[in-house]
Amino acid sequence: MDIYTLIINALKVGYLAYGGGGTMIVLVHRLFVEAGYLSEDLFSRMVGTTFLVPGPFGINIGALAGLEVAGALGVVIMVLGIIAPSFTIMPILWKLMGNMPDNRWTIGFKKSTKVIGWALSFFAAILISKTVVVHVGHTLAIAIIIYALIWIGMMYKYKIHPAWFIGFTMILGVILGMVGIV
Amino acid sequence: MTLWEIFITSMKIGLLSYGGGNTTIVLFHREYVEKRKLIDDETFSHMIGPSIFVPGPSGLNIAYATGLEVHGVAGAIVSMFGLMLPPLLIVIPLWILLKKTAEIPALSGLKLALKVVGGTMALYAAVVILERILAEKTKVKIASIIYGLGIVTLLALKVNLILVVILSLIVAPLMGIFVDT
Repeated sequence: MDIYTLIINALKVGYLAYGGGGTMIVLVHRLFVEAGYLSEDLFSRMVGTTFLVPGPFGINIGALAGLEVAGALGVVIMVLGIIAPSFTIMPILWKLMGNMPDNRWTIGFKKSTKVIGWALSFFAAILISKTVVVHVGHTLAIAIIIYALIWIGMMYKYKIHPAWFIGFTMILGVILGMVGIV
Repeated sequence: MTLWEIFITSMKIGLLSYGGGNTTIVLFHREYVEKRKLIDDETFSHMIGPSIFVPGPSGLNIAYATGLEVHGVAGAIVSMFGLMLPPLLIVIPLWILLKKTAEIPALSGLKLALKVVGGTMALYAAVVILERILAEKTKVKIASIIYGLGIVTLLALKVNLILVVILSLIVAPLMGIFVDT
């Protein structure tokens, strides 16, 4: 990817990222994977890695995409693109909203941001899951789907910390790889 | 509060911020409002709205706003970089290590494990947000689900991303029609 395209993509990721981490996944997928700069396989692993670390999800996934397509300079460009709205839109909006009482439309906007986050997280899950199940056999694909749904149920119902799921899955993956199942 | 203290505070928050922007916002509130009393509750609550509305990670926006409030533009820059630095110093070497490790045949299971983590966690995030949407009153709940599925459909049809965002933002305030004030 040439630097000019990377700068444009970094700004697109920064300025279009409404609704949280899910939006970032979809944006990076559209601009880097679907455009042919990153493979589906690499991207899905990148998303998995990003869930292992703390901090702003968008910055981490953006930095890794930048690293893959343009090395250290790519990281810098992506990070600057993602933080650009904080310096340009945030001061204006802060001034405007500071003087604006909560009304029907601002409440509506806040609720919509939540919905955008939900829709994009859901779509991001479909994108990555597709990569997982397409490359394994039928039986393994079904086993993975059941495994994922059981963990989601446990994390949701019993409030099990996602770190347990992540750690267990990584260890299980290594063991299954060693015995030749995956 | 010196610029160095702002930087260290943000770094600490960056290391503790598991679970998305909301966690980061809570941690900034704890440091600046509850512990150090540098920002009052009302000012901080005025920062939250724009932090969510402005595109990009809401945690970074709140870092910008708190830094700006206590130390001007320099404070904002230092606060943001402090928040980003520890995660970046972890994620980049970790990615390089995991990518290399997964190429070792005996450890190739890591590739699939990472993908399963990515897909499951994204779906889990969607479930958590859906729970909050389903807790809304019936009118808002139905409107939210239609609105959300509309966005998913546009994305599935590969409609131009800029157009999807613009359409979503135009429709967004209209959710207010269903809100009881």
